[in-house]
Order: sequence, then C-alpha cells, then structure tokens
Amino acid sequence: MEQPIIKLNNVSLWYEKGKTTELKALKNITIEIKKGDYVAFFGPSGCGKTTILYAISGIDRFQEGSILINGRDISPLTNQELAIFRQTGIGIVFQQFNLVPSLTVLKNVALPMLFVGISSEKADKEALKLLKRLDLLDLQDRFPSELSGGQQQRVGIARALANDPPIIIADEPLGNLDSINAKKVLEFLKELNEKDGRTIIMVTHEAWSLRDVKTIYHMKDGTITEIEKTTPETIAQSIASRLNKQLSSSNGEDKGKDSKGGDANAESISAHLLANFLLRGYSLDEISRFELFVNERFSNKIDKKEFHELINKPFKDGGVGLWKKKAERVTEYLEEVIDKKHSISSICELIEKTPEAAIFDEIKNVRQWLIEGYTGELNASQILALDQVISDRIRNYISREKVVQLLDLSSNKFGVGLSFRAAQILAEKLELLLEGVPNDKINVNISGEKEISKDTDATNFLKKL
Amino acid sequence: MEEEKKKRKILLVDDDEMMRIFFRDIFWMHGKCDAYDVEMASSLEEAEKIIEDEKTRPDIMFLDIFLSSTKKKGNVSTEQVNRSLEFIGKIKESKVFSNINIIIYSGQKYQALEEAVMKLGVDGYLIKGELMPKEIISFTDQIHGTTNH
Repeated sequence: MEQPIIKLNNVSLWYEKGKTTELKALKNITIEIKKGDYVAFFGPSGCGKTTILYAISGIDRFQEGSILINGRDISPLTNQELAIFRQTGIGIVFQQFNLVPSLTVLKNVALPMLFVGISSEKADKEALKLLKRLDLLDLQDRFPSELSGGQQQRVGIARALANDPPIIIADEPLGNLDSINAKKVLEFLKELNEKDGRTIIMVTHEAWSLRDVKTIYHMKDGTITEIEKTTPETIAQSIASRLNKQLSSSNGEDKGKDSKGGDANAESISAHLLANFLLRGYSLDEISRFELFVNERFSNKIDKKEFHELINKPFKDGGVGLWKKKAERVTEYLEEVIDKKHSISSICELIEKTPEAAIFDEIKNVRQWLIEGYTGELNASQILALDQVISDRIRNYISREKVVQLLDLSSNKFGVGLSFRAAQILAEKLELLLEGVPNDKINVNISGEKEISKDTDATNFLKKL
Repeated sequence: MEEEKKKRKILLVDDDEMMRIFFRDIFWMHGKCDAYDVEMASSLEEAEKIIEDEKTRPDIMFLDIFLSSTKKKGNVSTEQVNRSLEFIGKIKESKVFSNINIIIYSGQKYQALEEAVMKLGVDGYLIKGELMPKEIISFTDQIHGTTNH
C-alpha cells in the first residue's frame, strides 16, 4: 500500500504552554492523508483547524507526537530546513492573499522561485506560464492594490504554485471573495487536484466550499470528531448530507436519548442549510439568529409577516437586520421552501438554481449604484470606507445621520472624504434603496446582478454635482 | 516471488547548504524516496569517502564543479577547478567507479569547461538556476532509465 503523503501520529500542540494563558489547540490528532486526496478540515472558529495547517507546514511547532511527510518526520528539521521544505513542497493560499504590495503581479509569482535559487529570467518565464494558466497575463505589470479581491486571490494561487509543490494548503480561501470569484477558486482547486494530481488541504467553516472535497475531517475543540469520505453525487445531496451529519453530531449532546435523528431533524437541517446559504458573509451571530427564526417559521410558531419583520428588525433589537429588499427576497425564498415541504434536496436545487448573493456582492452592487453619476474620483481606500459604511447601514448598525457624517469625514479619519453635499445625496440615495424603491427603479436581484433605472431622483441629483 | 525494486543512490556534492537541502527536498516532497536514496556531501573529500564505500557508492552523482575550496572571492581558481576535473577523471578511469553517472550541476557554464568535462565522460552539464524541481526529477529519471538497460 502506498504510504500516506501526510501522517499525523498523536499530535498535540499547545500555545503558551506552561503559562496561565496556556491553550491546547490540538489534542492527540492521528490521521493519514493519501496522495492525491482533497481534504478539508471543517468546523467552527477556534476548533483547531488552522493550527493543523500550521503544524503540517512547519509554521507552528507541535510539542507531542510526530508528523510524517512522505514517510519522513518533520519534527527534527531546523528552521532553515522547514523554510525550504515549505518552499519546495507546500503552496499556501491565504484568506488575506498576502501579496507583496511593492511587487508587480509577475514578480509576486516569481518570488518563491528566487528563494530556492532559480534565476530571475527562468523565474519570470515560469511565472508567466502560471499567470497564463490563471488567466492573469494581462495583469502581469499591475500592483496588488490595483487588483480586485478575486484577481488578488488568483495571483495568490499562482504564487502558491510557483515551485510546483505536490501539496496545496488553502486557509479559508473563499473568505474574502464574492460568489463568482469564490466559485472560480473552487473550480481551480478542483483542477489542481484532479488534473495535476496535487494533494489539496483546505480549512473552512463554510459548508458550501466543501463541494469537491473527498475527505472531510470534522473538528471541534482541537479534536477530530469525525472522518467523512464523500462519494461523487450531486452537490446538493452531498452538501445536505454533510450538514445533516454535522448537525446531528452537534445536536447529539443537547437532544438527549430520545433523539433518533431522521425526520425529526429534517427541519433543523433545512434551517441550518438555508441560514448558511442565504446569509453568506454575515457573522455567526447573525446566521444563528436567522436560523432560529427559520425554525420558528417552519414549525408555524410565527407567520410569514412576523418572520419578515423579525429578519428586517435591527440586530440590536433582537432581529437579524436584513435590509428591506433582502428581507423580502429571503422571506419569499423561505415560503417557497415551505410549499415544497422543506425537503433538503429541494432547498439545494433552489440554491443551485438561484443562488443568493453573498453580502460582499450586495455591498458592491449597492456601492456601484450609489456612485453612479458621481463625477469625482474615489481611490481604493475611499471605496473600502464607503463599503464599510454601506455594510453598517444595511445591517442597521448605524443611523442615516451617521452615514452622512462618515461619508463626509476625511479619509485620514477613516471616513470616505466626500463633500458634505455629496455625502447627503449619497446617504439619501442609500435610504431610498433601503426603503425599497419600486422594483422598476432598482432591483438588486437574487443572483446579485442589478438592473437599475437611470432616472431615479437621486442619480439626477448626483449628475448635478 | 516478489523482488523489492532496487533503489538508485544519488549523491549531491555541493558546498551550499541551502542547495543541498533543496535538492534533497525535491526528491522527498515529490514522493521519489521509493526510487532514490539521496546522499549529500559538502566537499570532494567527503564525496570520495562516500564513493569508496561500496554500501554508500552512488549510481548518479550531481557535482558542483565550483566548490567553495575552488572559489576565491567569487572568482574561479583554475587550479581548484582542475581538482574537480581530476576527481571526475579518477572516477571515470577507475574500473570500480566508472559506472557512476556524473552530472555537473553548477551555477555557471563555460563552453571550454563543458567541452573538457564532456570529454571526461560526464553525462550532462546542468545550470542550477535554470531547472525547476520537476525538471531535475525528470532528468534524473531519464538517466535512471537509460542506464537501467
């Protein structure tokens, strides 16, 4: 039998061992990862999944047990040896991209090759091949700050492939991406696994990023609670069954002995599934509160109108804080699911057919609509600040007045730095959207694409600036 | 009756520690440890000992012709390069050692030097900065394949 590419024997890892702040992040982990596998460590934040990646790649030293890569123990390696081992054997894709801001796209990708003594000419030549593969050739002379998040992540993948490593590690690689780019990254990871035969190890807390994974290690409190081998089936079925298992294992402790799973759990699984898909990008608190309301609606404790009100109400007042249009869409979504007797596979089919945009896409769409007609130039940091204001307002964290203030505040004070008049107009426009301008005027639809009438009063205002 | 596949022994002679680790890691990380045992030496003297011992004698030797003892403030001393050439000559002339495939694996290439080593019977002259990890493996596999038959 072929030896595993990665083997962990009873690995335990403590942070701050011996101090009062000691934390045992990994507890006696024993697993074997086969060459060519596509593996995910899946679980809530703080379960130890990222620590496992750091231990495997030699970034964090573990205190007990051993990790064998292709049969060789990495614990005796010196720091220099570990650094070269990472450069040669492991490509890491980070959530935050971690590109070098002062280097062009081409040089960012070539950099890891220079570390292992490849000449600059050869490195550039190889980097160009990778940029071509990731459809980034046109961007080779740009700097990271000139790229969108999706483009930066593709550069991050190209860089991870620089020294042609057999293992790719992806740490929440979709966390900062909109749904289109997230999908692209998943497709590419799949290709690296299936076409290139690389071993892929992903860490994620999002169920939907598991769609192509072959082995799932469910983690909780620094331990592996379950190893799940998946078989090729429809995405819908596989995600549903994964969530099902995840939910029944976490409910096991709470539900006591009478719980037999099966149908009794179907509703809560559906609620969990819907919450995860409809509220992509929202915080865990927002998602779990939403899930609670979905369960209440499923069991008919609240009606459609009450459900809509609850999810629309600000989070601080006990609601979920979805803005009006989103709350309406989500309510309709849920009613459709109820009509179909909330079967998991029908939910998955619905989600696959008409995916709800992640909050990143919504904010981007709202921003584009807001600044349409604005004649001034917004730089990257102003756009970031504007996105933050939009996000805070549509979640009802801040009032309309605060929006005007933040839009007007200079950018060195973390505001957007618009003129007071422009700030007022943009804020007003945002309110129009939140109040729900009639559908024929603006419609941020369910797939995240927008259709806007250019003749709203607000845009006319802006054109006069 | 199943016979275990014979592993080929590779020896890398290089005075740069980083290069030695990198070279060993390439074979290790790409899962070639079943096919090859990679041994390393930092000087000609160390290499000689490994070659003389039948148990450690390599099938393929990658040699940096400009070892530290042959480098002077970045310049190559002719006298020291001659030592490397003598070392190669000695191996190729010996009945016991001449089967060892020798690959020059250096930072630079000079035409006259390349001609000289090829005359001595080396099997290739590679430049370090011009080969990606997988290219080193496929080159070695090729040597392995051709010398196997």
